[in-house]
Amino acid sequence: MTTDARPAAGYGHGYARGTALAAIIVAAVWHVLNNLSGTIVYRDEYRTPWPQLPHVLVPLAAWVVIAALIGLATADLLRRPHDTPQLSAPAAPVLVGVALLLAATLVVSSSACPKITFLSGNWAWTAFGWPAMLLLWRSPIGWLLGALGVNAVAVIVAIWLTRDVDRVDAARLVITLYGATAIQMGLFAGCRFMQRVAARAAAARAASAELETRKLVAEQIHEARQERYHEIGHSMGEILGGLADGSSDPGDSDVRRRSAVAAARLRRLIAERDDTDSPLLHELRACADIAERRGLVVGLEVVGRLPDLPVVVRRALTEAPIHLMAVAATDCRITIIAMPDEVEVSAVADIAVGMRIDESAGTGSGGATGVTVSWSRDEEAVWVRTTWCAR
Amino acid sequence: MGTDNVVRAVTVAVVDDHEVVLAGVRAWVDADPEQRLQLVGYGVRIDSVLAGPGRRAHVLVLDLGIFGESMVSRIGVLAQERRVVAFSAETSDATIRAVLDAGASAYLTKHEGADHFIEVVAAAAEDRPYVTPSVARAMLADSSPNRPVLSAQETRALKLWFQHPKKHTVARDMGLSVETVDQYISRARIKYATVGRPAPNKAAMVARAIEDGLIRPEDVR
Repeated sequence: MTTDARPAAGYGHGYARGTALAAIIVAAVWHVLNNLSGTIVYRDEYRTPWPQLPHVLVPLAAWVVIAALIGLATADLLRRPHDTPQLSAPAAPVLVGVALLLAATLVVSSSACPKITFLSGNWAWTAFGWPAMLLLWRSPIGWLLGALGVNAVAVIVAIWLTRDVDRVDAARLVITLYGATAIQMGLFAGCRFMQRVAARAAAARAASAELETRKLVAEQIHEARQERYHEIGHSMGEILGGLADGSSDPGDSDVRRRSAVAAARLRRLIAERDDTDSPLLHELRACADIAERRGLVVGLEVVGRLPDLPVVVRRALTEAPIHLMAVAATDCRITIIAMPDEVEVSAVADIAVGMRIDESAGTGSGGATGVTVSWSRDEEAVWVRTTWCAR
Repeated sequence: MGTDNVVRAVTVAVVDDHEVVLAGVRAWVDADPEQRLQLVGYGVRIDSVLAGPGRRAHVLVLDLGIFGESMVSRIGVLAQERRVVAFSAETSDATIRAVLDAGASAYLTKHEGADHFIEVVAAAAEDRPYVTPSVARAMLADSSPNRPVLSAQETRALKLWFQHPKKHTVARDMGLSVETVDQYISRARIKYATVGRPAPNKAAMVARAIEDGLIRPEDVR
């Protein structure tokens, strides 16, 4: 059974969106407050191979590239549904983005003067993790860890090559990198954990909603069945009671007729439970099946496509054929002519000798509206037509 | 089989892969009090029946599935030289319409055989339409865009004939004579003969209907 699990999914979806938004805000705020202000404050502390241009243009260009990457990653994160399954590996554009990010980081690091190595003017190497986190949001956690590792190695090598590094500097370098990486990884792992918890909660909620729906459906089916059993239980009980206490004679044609009608109704009741494409046909077949066991030959033919009919209408349409089959001698021809707004069930049969037919059968039965019954008979056969009209 | 001097107007050949059907057909032909048909060939293989006197029979009664092989595609060719009546256990509307369109004069389902066999074959030999309840159903169920337009009375007659196996009851229900009901039903069948692919039996059936006054020439364009 597939019940509507959307509310529960939305519940998990909300959590996933919340964690993504938190990461985006951290990355964007950090990029503006720390990185941009660092670049501006230390604008005179950059050196590039192009002395004819203001040196600060190079870290500014790197800042713009990283800002653009944050923008693209944000757009992607907010556009796609957050319950999209996580990828087993990042897509190619994501890897290109990470490579660009790394290049921009190295450009900033290598253009910063040695005196600002550990100041916010050399912001990029510690800021790498935030945009990288956004880019690798849907990738397994190992990819972010790997990217941070590559960044750390690249930054250490770049600093080692471009300036003199003493033991104290080396220690600061390692501690700063460790600190930044720990915070970034911590946030990322925390978000992942939240997502997983939310997804589990959503699944649990969906499961309980489905369970509840099933329970409701089962209750409704049970009630409807009880009601129908009650309806036929009375006549069944009367017949069986009469046979048991000897007040009814099984040889009596009227007892036989009433028994046949009750048996067909019982069979119809069971058939009503089945899930079929065309319930009316299925129920008529079930009733015919009961009659055929008595030796009656029943032909059942259909023209047209049956519209969806409520059970009360179907019962009203099958009631008269049930009564006719109960008294038929050898053959019964049942036909259905179906149109979208009109269905006619016709039954023709020869009547067994001594059998009385109940021509009130099917008229005004079960509260179905729009159903009319017409009986006609000649010396050879009895013909009953039950018509349902939507208008 | 009678050895009297009755002239049997209609010669018929029957092909069916079940011997019991052939025996049944022989019994029906013999039991006809008017002895309208003369069985000149029968067998389980079409080629062997057509190799013998069955070749010149007025009407070929053909089972549509002979040892698992469909005969539907052969009807067009077979109907060039004789009238063909399909006699099959297959009852689907689409098959019935396809077989009639291919050039069969009539379609008889196996369960309708006993009631209609003699009349269907006799009518086919005279190029007169004969509509069994199954054919009525197939016409009623037709929803193809190029189906002929039937009048309300024609549709009603087909509908009642599909529902009730006795034409006099149908006639009484419509407040008409059996002959008039027959005319409506036949007219519906003639309209079917004027659409679809051309076949000798269709042209002959339309010509016969005009001759009989069943339809006017302008009714068929």
